[in-house]
Amino acid sequence: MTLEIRNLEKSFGKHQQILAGISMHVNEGEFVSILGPSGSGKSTLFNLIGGLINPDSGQIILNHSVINGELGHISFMPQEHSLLPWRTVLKNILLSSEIKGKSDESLARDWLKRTGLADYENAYPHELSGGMKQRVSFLRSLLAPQSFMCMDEPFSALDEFTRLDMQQWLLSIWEEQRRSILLVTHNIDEALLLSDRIYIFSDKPAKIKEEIIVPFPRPRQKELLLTDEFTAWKRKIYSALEKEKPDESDRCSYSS
Amino acid sequence: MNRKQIKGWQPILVILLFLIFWQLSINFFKIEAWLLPGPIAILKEGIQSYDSLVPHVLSTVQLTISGFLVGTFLGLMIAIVLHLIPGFKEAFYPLLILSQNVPIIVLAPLLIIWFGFGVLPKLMIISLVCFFPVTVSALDGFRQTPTELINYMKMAGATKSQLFWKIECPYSLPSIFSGLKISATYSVMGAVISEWLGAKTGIGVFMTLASSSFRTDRVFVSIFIIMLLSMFFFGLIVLLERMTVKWKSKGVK
Repeated sequence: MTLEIRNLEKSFGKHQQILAGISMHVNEGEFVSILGPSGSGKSTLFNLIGGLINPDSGQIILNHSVINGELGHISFMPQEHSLLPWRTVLKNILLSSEIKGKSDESLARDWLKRTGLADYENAYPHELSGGMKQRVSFLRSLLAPQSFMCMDEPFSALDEFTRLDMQQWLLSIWEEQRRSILLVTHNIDEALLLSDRIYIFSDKPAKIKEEIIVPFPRPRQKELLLTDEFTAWKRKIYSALEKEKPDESDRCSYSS
Repeated sequence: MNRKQIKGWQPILVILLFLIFWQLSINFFKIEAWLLPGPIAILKEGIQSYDSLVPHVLSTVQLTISGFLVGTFLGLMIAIVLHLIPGFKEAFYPLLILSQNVPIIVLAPLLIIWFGFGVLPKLMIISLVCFFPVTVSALDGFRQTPTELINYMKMAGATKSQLFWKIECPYSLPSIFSGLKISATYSVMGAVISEWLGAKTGIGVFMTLASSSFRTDRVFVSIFIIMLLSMFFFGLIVLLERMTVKWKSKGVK
């Protein structure tokens, strides 16, 4: 699965330009992150890729075919877990494949076992912690029939410890599966730890400020976060984000 | 466990105190029985006329249940149609509200003129009072379905009918049950009103006969029966809700 975005533009109304000519790509089996301040149009980008809205101009190309405004091509993991409260964990995981007509219960059970969630198979979402809900939500999009995954700040609502845990967990699964993933985040550590490449977005209207190729070898461990090399890269990204920052410099929307 | 029992007894205690107060004031002010009988006299009358009451009660229960089923079914269908067909909700909602402004007392004799003394006009009256709470609560439930859920389903490629059956329908169940509870109590009233206007049996008939012969005690007997029936149907819906909407039990946000 490859994704290519060419010159994507989107405005709401006459004066509110959200995306100003975004061009980017995700290669087969690549983990790509978009890093940018909150409210920089990252969610709009996902709504465009997901087909909820149409771009003003530009193309979204999935596996060499244009999918502008078409629903049902990507597997989405939203910011809020969006699990159905009336379905058990197992039934929630099956939802994504159920929509396309074929759901494989034994495969879902298998995955629950592999990811340490087997005991929660029959639990309802309200019985789970925030981290657990996100794990279930991730499994749901992993088991979706669409293999290209888009994740919208999936860990932003979690506390620091849970987030670290989740990132580790995600890494271990992803390094086995090597799916193509596009992740939106405003967390520099998260982007560096998880991705192969990072696009840095500017504030509204969003443009790509810089593209960074993350050099760390895989498999990666969380100890990486403490190395000097990691800190050096972090500094580099931080200064890239700081560049041509808007006048209101007292805003600090980048959490570290 | 202990606490729960005490909680359940509080309303019963209040009602008991009210009945005692009622009985004492009747005795104290020496109020005539044909004006206002005391609870003990009403209970006595209820036990005495038990045998003649049973067929009336059964007939009302039967009418209530069939009217409730027809009314709520219609209510749900109307809600689904208004929700699924774009523009219909805006177009028809005012008409629905107007339908509730027609005084039943005036409408009922007309219906009897048009459709005779059979069961049809009675079912129409009950349906008319029953459908509205269900329609309104179902429409509210559909409308309040969170956009995140809907967007997620759309991105996953869900069809309109999948969106409805997998998301909007289950999401609005708790809200539909609120409507059903109101309808359940209304349907008893609707049945009694429809019986006033021409029926051979039923609490409504028993009540009209009693009040025209100044048997105030019997009027109160029927009032209490209506109350008990309403509470019974209400409880039935609550039970059904607990069995269906299990996931809501621990307060989902």
